[in-house]
Amino acid sequence: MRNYLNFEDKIKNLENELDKLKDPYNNEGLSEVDTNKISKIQSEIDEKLKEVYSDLNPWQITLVARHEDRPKSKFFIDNLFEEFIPLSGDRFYGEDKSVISGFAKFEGNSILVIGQEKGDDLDSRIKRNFGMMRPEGYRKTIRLMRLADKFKIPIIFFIDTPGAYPGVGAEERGQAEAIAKTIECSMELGVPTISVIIGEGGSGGAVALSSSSKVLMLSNAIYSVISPEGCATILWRDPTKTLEAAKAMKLSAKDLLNLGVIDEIITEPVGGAHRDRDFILKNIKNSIFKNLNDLKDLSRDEIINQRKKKFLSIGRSGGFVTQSTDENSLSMKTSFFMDIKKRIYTFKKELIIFGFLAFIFVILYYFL
Amino acid sequence: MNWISKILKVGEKIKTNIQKKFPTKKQQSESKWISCCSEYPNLKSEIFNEEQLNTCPRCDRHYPFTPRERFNHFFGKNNYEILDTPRPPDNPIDWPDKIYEKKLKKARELTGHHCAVMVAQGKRDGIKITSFAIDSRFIGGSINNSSGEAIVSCFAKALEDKTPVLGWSEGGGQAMYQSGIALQFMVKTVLAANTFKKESGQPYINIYTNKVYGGITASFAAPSLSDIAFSEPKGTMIGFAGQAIVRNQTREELNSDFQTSSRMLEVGFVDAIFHRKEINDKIMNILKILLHKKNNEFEATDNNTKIREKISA
Ligand SMILES: [Zn+2]
Repeated sequence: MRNYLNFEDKIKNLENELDKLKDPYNNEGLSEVDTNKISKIQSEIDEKLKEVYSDLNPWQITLVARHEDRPKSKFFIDNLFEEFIPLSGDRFYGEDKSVISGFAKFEGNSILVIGQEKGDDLDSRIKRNFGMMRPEGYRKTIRLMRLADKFKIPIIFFIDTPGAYPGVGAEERGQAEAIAKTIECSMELGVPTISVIIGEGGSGGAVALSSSSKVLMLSNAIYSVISPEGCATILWRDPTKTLEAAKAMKLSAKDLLNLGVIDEIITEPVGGAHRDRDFILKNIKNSIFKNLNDLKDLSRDEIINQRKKKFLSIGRSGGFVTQSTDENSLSMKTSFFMDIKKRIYTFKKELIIFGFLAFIFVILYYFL
Repeated sequence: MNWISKILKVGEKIKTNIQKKFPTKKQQSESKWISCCSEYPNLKSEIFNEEQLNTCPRCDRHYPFTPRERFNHFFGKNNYEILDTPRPPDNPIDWPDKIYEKKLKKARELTGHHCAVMVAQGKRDGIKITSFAIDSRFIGGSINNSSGEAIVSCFAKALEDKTPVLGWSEGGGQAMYQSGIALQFMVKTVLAANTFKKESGQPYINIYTNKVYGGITASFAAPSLSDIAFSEPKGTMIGFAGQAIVRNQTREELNSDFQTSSRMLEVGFVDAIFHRKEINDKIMNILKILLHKKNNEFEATDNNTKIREKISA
C-alpha cells in the first residue's frame, strides 16, 4: 500500500490502474495489448511525476519531507554502512531511542553514525517518540562524539525531527542545556563532521546535530525555526495558512543554499526519495564520500578552524557590514559607510552649528 | 420595553463587566494601579521606583528591567559606554510585505536601539566588565542577525580587552522572521562564548531575568555554557519550550512552579537566586574571588593615583 500526498491524485489513479493491469489474478498471463497499455501508463505516470515535482511549492516540499514512505535514518544506516554496532545510553539517566547511534564502516573506513529516527509504522513511531529527542539523546550524542574524536573517527549525522521533545521531564532534565552542550561539543571536534538533513530539520532540535563541517540537504528536505503550522498560527492565528508560512520562512534546500546556511544539495529522484531508494542511496553515498575525501587531509586545527570560519561567516554579508578580512575572528569589521555615519553622529553638534552659521552667512550675503 | 431590548441590555451589562474584569493592555499600561499579589491592587509607584528597582515590596516579584536600567543600576548612572555592534541587513530572507521591517521600526522607536541586545563596557569596584543585556520589549527579545552579532561582538570585545563577560539573559528564542539565518546564531553565539572562555581566561557570568526560552536558553545562555548561572527570583521563568507548547503537545499536568527560577534551582540548573537589590554585590563577590582580587586593592590603587596626582600637581 502506497501513501499519496494531496497533490498526487492523478498519479494515484494512474498507478492504481497500472496495478490492476499487473495483477496476476485479474489476467491469465499478459497479452501483447496489455503490455503496451502498461508501458503507456508507465510513461504517463513518469510524465505526470516530472510535471508535478518539477515545480513543488514550499508547502508541498514540506509534505514530501514528512512523507510516511520516505526513507528514514535507519534505512540509510542499514544500507550505507557495514558492521554497524549500535551504542546506547547517556550514562546519566537513560537511553533515547529517537536517536540511533553507533560505530560502523563506510567504504572500509571507521565512522560514527548518529541518526534521528521517526519510525516507519505506528509502533515504531511511538517507540522512537516521532523523532523528538530528549536531553538523554543529546547527551548520548555528546558522549559518542567525544569518543569518536579521541579515536580520530569522522562523524555522519542524519537529521529528521519535528523538533526537540517539549515534555515536562525533558524540560526539567535540561533540554536547552543539552542542546547547547551538543553545539559546543560539535565546535570542538577535530574530526570531520557531516550532517545530512534527510527529512525535517525542526528548529533547535535539528541545529544541535547540524553544527558540522559540512551540512548537506536532500532536495525535498526542509529546515526552519518553527513548523509552517506553528508559524501560521502565530502570524495569522490560522494554522491552515501553511503555504504562506512555508514560503516566507525560506525552508527549502534551494533557498537555504542561496542564504549560505547549507553547503550542498543532494538530488532526489523524480517523485521524491521514497520512489527510488537505490537512486537516493547512491547519491547520498557519493556525496558523503566526496565530502569526507575533501576533509581527510586537514589537520585537527584546520578542521576546527574551517568549521568556525564557516559558521561565523553565515549572515555576515550586506547591510552596514562587510566580510571581515580575517573571517576566523569573532569580530565583524564595520564598513566605510558605517564609519562615516558614526563620525557624523559624534560630531553632530558641531555639524549642526556649522550648518546654521553657514545658512546665516548665506542669507546675510544675499541681503547685503 | 420589549424582550429584545431587555436582552440587549443584559448583553451590554455582561460586556461592561467583562471589560471591568479584563482591562485592555492600553488601560493596564495607563493605569496607576497594578494587580500583583495582595487582595487589593498595588500602586505602581510602590514597585517601579529607584529603591524598589521594579520589584514588589510585598511578594518580591521582579518586573522587567530594560538594558539601560540594568546598566545604570550595575555600573552607576551613565558610568559606562554603550558599544557599537554590527548592523547586518534587516530582512535577509526577504520576508514578504515588509512585515518584519515594520515590526523592527516600531521596536526601534520604542527602545531607541537598533536591536534587542545592548552591549556595554564599564567599571565596578575597579574591575572592567563587558556586559550584554536583552530587551524583551524589542519583538520579545528574539535573536536575529543583529542581536546575534551583538552577542558575538560582546564576547569578541571582552576577549580583546581581557575582561569578564556579564550577561543579563531574557527573551523568547530565535527570530521567526529570519528562520534559517536566526537558527545559525545558536551555533555562532555558542562558538563565541566558547572561544571567549577558552582563550581569555576570564569568567562568563550569566543572569536569568524575566522570561528566558528557546534558542536563547539553548545556546549562549545555557546554564553550563556560562561559568556561573544566577537568577532573579519570582517573575523569572527559564525553559526551552513555552508552557503552552508543553501543555498542548504532551497534555501533561504542569505544576505551578514548573520552569520557575526556584524550580530550576531545585533541579540543578541555577547556582543561586538573588534579589535585584543584592545581586550586583553577589556578582562582584564571585568575580573578585575568581580573579583573586583583594577587597581593598582597588581603593588602594585609586588612592595611590590620587596621591600621585596631588604630588605631580
Ligand atoms: Zn506582589
